[in-house]
Amino acid sequence: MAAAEISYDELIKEDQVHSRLYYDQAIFQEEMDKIFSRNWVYVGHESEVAERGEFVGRWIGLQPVILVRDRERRLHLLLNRCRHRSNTVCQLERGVAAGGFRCAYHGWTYAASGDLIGMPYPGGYAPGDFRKEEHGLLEVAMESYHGFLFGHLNPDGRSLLEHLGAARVLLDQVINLAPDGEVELRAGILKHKYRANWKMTMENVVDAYHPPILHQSAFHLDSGKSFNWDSIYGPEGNARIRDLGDGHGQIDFSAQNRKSGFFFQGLRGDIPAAAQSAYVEGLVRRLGSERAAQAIGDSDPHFSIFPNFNYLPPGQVRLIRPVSVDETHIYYFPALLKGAPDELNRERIRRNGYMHGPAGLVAPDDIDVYERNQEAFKARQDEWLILRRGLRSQRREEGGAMVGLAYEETTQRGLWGHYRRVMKQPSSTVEER
Amino acid sequence: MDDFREVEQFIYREARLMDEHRYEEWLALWTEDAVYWVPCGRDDADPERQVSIVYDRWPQLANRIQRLKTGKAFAEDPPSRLCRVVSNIEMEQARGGEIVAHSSFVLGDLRKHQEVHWYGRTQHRLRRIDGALRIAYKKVTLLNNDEPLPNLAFLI
Repeated sequence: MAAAEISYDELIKEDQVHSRLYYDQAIFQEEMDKIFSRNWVYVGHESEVAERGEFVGRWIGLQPVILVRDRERRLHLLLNRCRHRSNTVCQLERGVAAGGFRCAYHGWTYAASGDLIGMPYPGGYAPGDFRKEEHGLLEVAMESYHGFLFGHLNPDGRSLLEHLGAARVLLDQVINLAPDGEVELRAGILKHKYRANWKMTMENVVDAYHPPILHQSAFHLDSGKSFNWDSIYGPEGNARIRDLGDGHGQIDFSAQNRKSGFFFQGLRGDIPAAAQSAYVEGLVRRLGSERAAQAIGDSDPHFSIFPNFNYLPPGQVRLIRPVSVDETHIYYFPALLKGAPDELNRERIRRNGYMHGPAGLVAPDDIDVYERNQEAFKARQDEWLILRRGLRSQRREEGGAMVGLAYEETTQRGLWGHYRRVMKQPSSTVEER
Repeated sequence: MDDFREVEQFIYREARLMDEHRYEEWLALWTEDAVYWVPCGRDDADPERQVSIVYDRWPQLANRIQRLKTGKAFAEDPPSRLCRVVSNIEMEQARGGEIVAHSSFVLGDLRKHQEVHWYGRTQHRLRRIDGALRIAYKKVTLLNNDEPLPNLAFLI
């Protein structure tokens, strides 16, 4: 029996979206197929598995994968599923697989490269009945952009670079902040969970309307009490939101960064002067003085890559993991600048937990709001969420991106427009049988 | 044994101040050079090199309290109802006259009809200032510090 087809044109209009998109189990299942199984999905960073045999456990949508570096230092993304009769071969979220991965059930053993290297009693298969070479752990396609690793369960010829599109230059901005031209994600992971849909956080991270309101308790601490927040977020404010296309979005704080070094807090008083100048000198050595000034002016960008990657000041990578239609996990990684003085990276690490962890001054209020959203979806007299702010005033800038003021909703409209295109593809799971 | 009773009573009292959201009184228990640490991922990570759930010195601690008192810390609006049982208290004398106390806790956290249970071990380093015990260092090792956590916006 075929399920009634979901009409995404009915649920997603130019200026409003329907609540059902956040609570319908059937839609969630379609997302796991059309979005997470047929797109580049962020899985981790090369620096997380720097050593031979080092691995981390991750997910693409709901599917468990292992990101691992083999003995020849090659990276692999493997499905965490024994080829014999399905069993997780790796039980840990991080570690070193010195002897590869061994299934506890019947002892099938795989090298870190995924190759099947042994099993007890191989004589159970008649000669010619089984080929070891065909039964390694299934490998998932993976591409790297400056160390950021994205996996694709069903590669269709579209490269990672095509997928990144206009968001690529923002990853470049991140890289350009590191005197050695690389970031490292080896300072641990804050893990946060909430009882609401995964798209909440993808929308919220490019919503610049809420910060001075929802986060006022953090904005108006003694340190920020006298600051005129409207000069960033208000009608005359210098922040902009940008729909980068392909579901990616940005909150552009670069004008404010240039004015005050505001978000690049590493250079704003908490770092000894000598470390600050050592850092700037390091950047100048690599980039030259003009591009170094540009990099510092741009500072840590604030953006999202569809469907599950965020980057925020002061140096935080986020990986979004949908668990069910109303449960989501977020992993927060401090992004260390390779080649920068210790003092600067320590400050970035500290601010990650202080601002955006489960006990941070900012992230818990976002999380609580997602759960309030999800609860309110049960009220069904009017199921529409309005996304009309700035619809008439947004403008397309040179280069093609749509831009709006901080308190408008250009970025959410961009996300939903892309989502609709992706979700209107035919399902790959055919239900005629 | 008198010292032990005093330390035990101090730890119980601190627990009750946290349960009852008595923020200012709780903040007054700390020394000015205090370190408050809730490790993340590993119990023994170096907090200067690995991210922590909480790693506060006095200014951050004071900000944390100031934020909670605004009434606009929405993750605690309405506030969690908290009840913690502290047990397994051990005491040892440390260098410089400080007292090290180890304890365990079970914490019930009820908010908006959702009940969450927290478990952990606490290490206090207490210092006597003007006759009263003060917290110079507190490390809270959560059982689930390597798992995705729900909001932890109250005091632990």
